This record gives sequence, structure tokens and C-alpha cells, in this order.
Amino acid sequence: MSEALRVESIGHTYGADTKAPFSAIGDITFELEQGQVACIVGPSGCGKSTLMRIMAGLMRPTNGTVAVGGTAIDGVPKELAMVFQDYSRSLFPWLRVRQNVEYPLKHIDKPTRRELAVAALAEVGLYGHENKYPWELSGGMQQRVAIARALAVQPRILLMDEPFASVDAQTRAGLEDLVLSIQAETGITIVLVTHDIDESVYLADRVVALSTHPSTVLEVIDVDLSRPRDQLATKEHPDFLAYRHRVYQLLHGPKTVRRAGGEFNSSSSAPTSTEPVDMATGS
Amino acid sequence: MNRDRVWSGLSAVVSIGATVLIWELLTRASDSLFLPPPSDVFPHLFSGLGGIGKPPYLSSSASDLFLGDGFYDDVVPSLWRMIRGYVLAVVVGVCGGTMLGLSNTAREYCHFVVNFVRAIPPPALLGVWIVVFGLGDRPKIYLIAFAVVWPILLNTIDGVAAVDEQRKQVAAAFRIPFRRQLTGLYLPSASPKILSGMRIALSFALIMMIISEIAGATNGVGLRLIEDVTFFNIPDLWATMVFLAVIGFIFNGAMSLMEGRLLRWQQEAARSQDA
Repeated sequence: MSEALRVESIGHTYGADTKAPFSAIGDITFELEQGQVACIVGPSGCGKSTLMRIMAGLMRPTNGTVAVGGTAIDGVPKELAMVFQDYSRSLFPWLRVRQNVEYPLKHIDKPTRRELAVAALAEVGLYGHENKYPWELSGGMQQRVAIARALAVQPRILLMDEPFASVDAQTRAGLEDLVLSIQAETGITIVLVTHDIDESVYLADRVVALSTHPSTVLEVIDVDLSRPRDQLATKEHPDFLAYRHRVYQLLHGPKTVRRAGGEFNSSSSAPTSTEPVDMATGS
Repeated sequence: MNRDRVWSGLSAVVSIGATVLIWELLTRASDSLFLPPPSDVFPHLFSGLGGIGKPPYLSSSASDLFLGDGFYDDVVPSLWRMIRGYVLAVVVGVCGGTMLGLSNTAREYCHFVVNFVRAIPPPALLGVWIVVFGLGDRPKIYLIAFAVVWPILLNTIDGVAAVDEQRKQVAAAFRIPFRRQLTGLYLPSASPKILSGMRIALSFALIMMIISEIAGATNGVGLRLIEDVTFFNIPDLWATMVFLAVIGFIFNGAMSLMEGRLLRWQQEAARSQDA
């Protein structure tokens, strides 16, 4: 497998030249191979969105580099597409569903463009909804449109910034499985930011747990759960619970944060029965 | 739906009828020479007084589209100047407003100048512009454009500056070239604001059309009004009022129709968010 994305000693300080600089990101390093799913999980306000924007090339970090496919990025790389959290603000309400998906493809000739858009919409299960407006669809369907728009540019890396935070739990599970099946079919690399620990473990090959600001990587956890994953079977598996346990303690145990590496490397198969106790002491 | 339409059409006819009736009764009760009843006014839409009277707005000839010499000699030149002035204002207002809306710095620099120049009452400029641009159509067109450009300009600035931050990031993340961001994101997003500015400007343009003919005009509805006053053609004067009201009504209706078509997405999107 080849390296798809490398985040190298990224640090970011807002207003560095002002009297009150705010250090959002301390030092983040991790890498990702082609075809992997990584979930970046951390407490709210830990600079997840800042990191996302840096990886997308929308923002230049104060320190460090992001490399896509081995080359450092300068601006938005063309191998990359993005899904934003708030679908109602990321889709264009004056365009129909198909036109929304075609919008980033305007440099391609019309028949091909249309074909790509319709195929992408079919992939997310929206065949037949091409001529509707986004506001005629439910929240979950709108987020599918946003995913189709990202897939239509045929990216090698898909960045998703808390993509399921604005939909209800039922819809959320459906969208998680949609993303996993698309990943399995296309072999695309996915980086997904979330604050939901269960979601991160369920989706990821690799969970990057971040501390509060200025954020650093607490630990990169390789999740070795079999694929395809299943909302019931996977989430009831003892290994899933152990991974969940570990990520939870990383994020919520204030004392254990500093010695995270040593403490938890040996506890990957922590018995599930102790979990409620740990959760109580952790919070 | 269809019943509603019939109903609103019926209520419009009734209310217009009632208004005309009250107008008739009030003016008959008054014996002022300057307040002729509508039964005296309406015939003047079709036939002039003869002699010092002006040609009428309407005619019975189908080949003239039922429009009289008064329409072709005075209303058409007036409207043509108004439309040119209005279009000029839309072009300048939308282009200038987009530039100022995109740049915070430009907006800060221009804020004072815009508000200062805007404070000049447009009719005060009529004399100045006749001196600068001479007689004929140009000073009138520029006067109309100057007067009505402000609501378009200011609304465009507002609309373009208020484009959602996340939509801008979408455009950036998908590497959309700037020109297509303008046509695909900024202008559609600002279109509700721009159109409401254009609507305000249109009714204002009709006012300025009349005012621009107060001095230095050789034809036009405004000139007619002044001459009718001068020569005491009082029923003609009122006939012009009625005709202007109809023109204003038609313009407003056309504007509403256009707004409804272009902004259906906005109204529907707002409605679906409330639900």
C-alpha cells in the first residue's frame, strides 16, 4: 500500500502576531495509507475543524506540512474532495440536485458531466431525485447529495467534517454504512472528523485521538475489526467495546492523558464489565 | 387554487369599482373646477380637448394597438428614457455593488463617499446636468440613473457581503475558478437582495421620469403635466394621473412576476425550513 496522506508536525496559532495569540493546534503528526479510513476524534474545541481546513488546503498552517501522495500541498489538491457538516449551508438551494453535483465539474463537457453526476447520485441511493431541489429532501438525503457531489469529482481522498452531526440517529447509522460501502467499492481514502467515539471506532481503520487545544495526538489507534462492518455484530463485538473503552479513556480521563501511551497499550482487551466503572471515574 | 384566483380577481374589480364610485360622488359634491369627476376624466383618455388640448393616450384604431398619438409622442419617449436610465443603474449598481461587496477594504473606503453622494437630492442635479450634458435625452437618462442606482448598489453590497462562509469554502474546496464563483455563487446568493433593490429602484425611476422633464424637455409625460397645468386642461391632467397609475401598476406586476420566478427557490427553501 502506498502513502495517501501525511500530516507532519502541523501546528496552528490564530493571530500569531497579535497581543492575544490563540494556539489551536500544538503538534499533530499522523499518516494514512491509500484505501484506509481514518477518524479524527477529540473533545469539542480541540481544533478538529482547523485541522480539517488545513488538510483540505483551505488554510495554511503556522507550522508543518501536509503531503498528499508524497508531495506537500500548496492550496487545495485536486485529488481531494470534501463533505461539510451543515448540508443546508453547503448545498446551493438555487440549484437542483443534479446541478449541485455538477457544479464542481463545469470544466468537463456536458454529457460526461451529466453522466458523472447521475452515477454519483445513484451511488448514494438518490437515483430519480436528480431534478428535485435540495430543500425538497430530508436532512439525510441532503447529506447524500453532498457526498455525491464530492464523489463526482472522483477524488482519491475524501475529507468529511463531522458529516453526520446534523442528522438523527437512525439516519446517521444509514449514512455510516453508506460511507463504508462506498469506501469498499471505490477504495477511496477517507478522513472523517467526529466527536462521536462509537462512530470513530465503527468506521475507522485508524483512530487519531486528539487532546484539547493546543491539540496534540494522544494516540493513533489501529482498529483491527473485520470488514464489512455491521451496526449490530460489530458494535457488540468485545474488541469493538475494548477499542471504544480505550478511546473514551484517552479523551475523558484527565489524569491518564499524560501517560496514555504506556498505560493503554497493554489494555486493548480490557474486560467490558469494568467499563461503566471507568466511565464514571472518567467523567 | 383556481377558486382563490377567481375570488381575488373579483375582489379587485369590486374595490376598483367602489373607488371610482366614491371618487365620482365626492367630486360631484365638490364644485371645484380642479376636481373633475371620473366621468369627465375618462373620456379624456380617448379624445383630447382639441385646440390647446394634447392628443389622447388611447384610440379606437386597432392598427395603432388602440394607443393614441399622446402615447406615441409623449409616453414612449418618457418610458424609453426611463428604461435606459434604469438599465444603466442596474448595470452600475450590480457591478459596483459586487466589487464593493467582495472587498471589505473597498467597502470601508467607499462607505463615506457613497453616503455623502447619496445624500444629494437628485432633482437638485437636473440643472447641473443640463449644463454639463446639454438638452436632449442624456441629462434625463443620467438623472434617472443617478437617482435610482442607490438602492440597487447598497442591496447588492449587502447581498454579496452576506454570502454564507461555508458556501465560500465549498467553492474553494472544489477549486471553482473565481469567475464561476461570481456567476454560480455570489450573484445567485445575493439575488433576493438585488431584486428587492431593483424593485424599489423601479418605482423610484417612474418618479424621476416625471421630474427629469420639468426643465429642458421637448416631449414626455412630465412636460405634458406642466403644460396641462399651465393651460388649465384639468381633465387632461387627471387623465394623465390615471394613465401613470396604470403604467406603474403594470411595471410593478412585471417585477413581481420576475421576482416570483427567479426567487422561487428562496421562498420554498424558507418555507421548508419552517415546516
